Amino acid sequence: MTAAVAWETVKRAAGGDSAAKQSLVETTLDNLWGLAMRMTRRPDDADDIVQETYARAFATLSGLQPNGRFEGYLARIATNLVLERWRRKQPKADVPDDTVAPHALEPWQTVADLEDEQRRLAAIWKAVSRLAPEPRAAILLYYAQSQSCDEIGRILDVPLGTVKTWLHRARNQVRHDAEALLASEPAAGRMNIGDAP
Amino acid sequence: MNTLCEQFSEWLDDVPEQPLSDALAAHAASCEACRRQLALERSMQSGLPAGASLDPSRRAALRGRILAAPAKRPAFRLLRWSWAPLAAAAAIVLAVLVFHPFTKSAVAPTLPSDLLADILGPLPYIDSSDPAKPDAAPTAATESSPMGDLLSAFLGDFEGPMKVALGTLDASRAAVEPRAADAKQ
Repeated sequence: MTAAVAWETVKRAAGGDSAAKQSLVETTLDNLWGLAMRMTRRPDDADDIVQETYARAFATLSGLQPNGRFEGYLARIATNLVLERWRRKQPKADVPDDTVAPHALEPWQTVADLEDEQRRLAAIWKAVSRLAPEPRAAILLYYAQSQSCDEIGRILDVPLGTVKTWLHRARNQVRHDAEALLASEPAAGRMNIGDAP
Repeated sequence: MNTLCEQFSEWLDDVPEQPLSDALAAHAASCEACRRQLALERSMQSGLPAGASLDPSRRAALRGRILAAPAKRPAFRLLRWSWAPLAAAAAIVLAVLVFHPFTKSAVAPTLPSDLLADILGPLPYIDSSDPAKPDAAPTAATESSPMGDLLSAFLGDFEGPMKVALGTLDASRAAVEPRAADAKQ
């Protein structure tokens, strides 16, 4: 968990203080890259989004009002950049396998459990990638970034009711599509760790 | 679908605001459909946030790029989209200029001289070269008034070209008149 950015630092950065700018980047970079990565699913795309986000944020620092969180301001810019990309091109249904993070095997889990989990997660990402841009952003901000509905509303610039509607529909759609995807694939053979040959 | 399945579905709609009750957890353990739904929800909660950590080498490179890049002011939304209506308006104006009948060069319809004579009949004779003739048309110069003098002085500049034009009219009339006379007979 990174520390919140102080508005004093933002003010100094707006005045051209390069040390303050560096401090802003240091404090916010990991979270912002995580957001961009979860939305784009590709590290190079995440890099581009993050760089563009800082460039735009630094250009508008002087006009920024010290209300809310600076991180929220960055998230808003980054999310809008991602939304622009999604609107420009159809979202890719395929998710690179290497971006589905492998989980550590819990003591009570079997290899088959882990494989099931991997298949489930891949199906979920595939279903998420089929969503329309705004609900997709909403569900990723909610689950992947643990943002509240209020914060999502501020980031996407929509009322709270709209966020809740998007989330409700997106969750149902993802569960439905993921289940259909899983049903269409053959299930992994169940094998306990102790049964390994 | 039984009541517990419905309750579970309702809980899923509100998840993860509400904790799963013991009764619904026990139901999910025994109901295959609800268990699958719960597993998907758990996977969304645990799997979507995973796999987005920035490794140190990538972080250092990206940090350098960010701090070296110039600040970039976002394009004003109105300007960004204003090209579309402007382009449409320009296309409409261009289409009007190219295809509108007013802009086409007007070619006066010409009638054969004999047909023209049939329509107009014999033209009155006006001898512009001899103003003393009794049937000559009165001109501004014959009027004697300050305004007439002024007009005469002004029209004096056009006397030459006007005479040429009237001469041309005489020639045309001479060509038409005999045919008009024939037509009367």
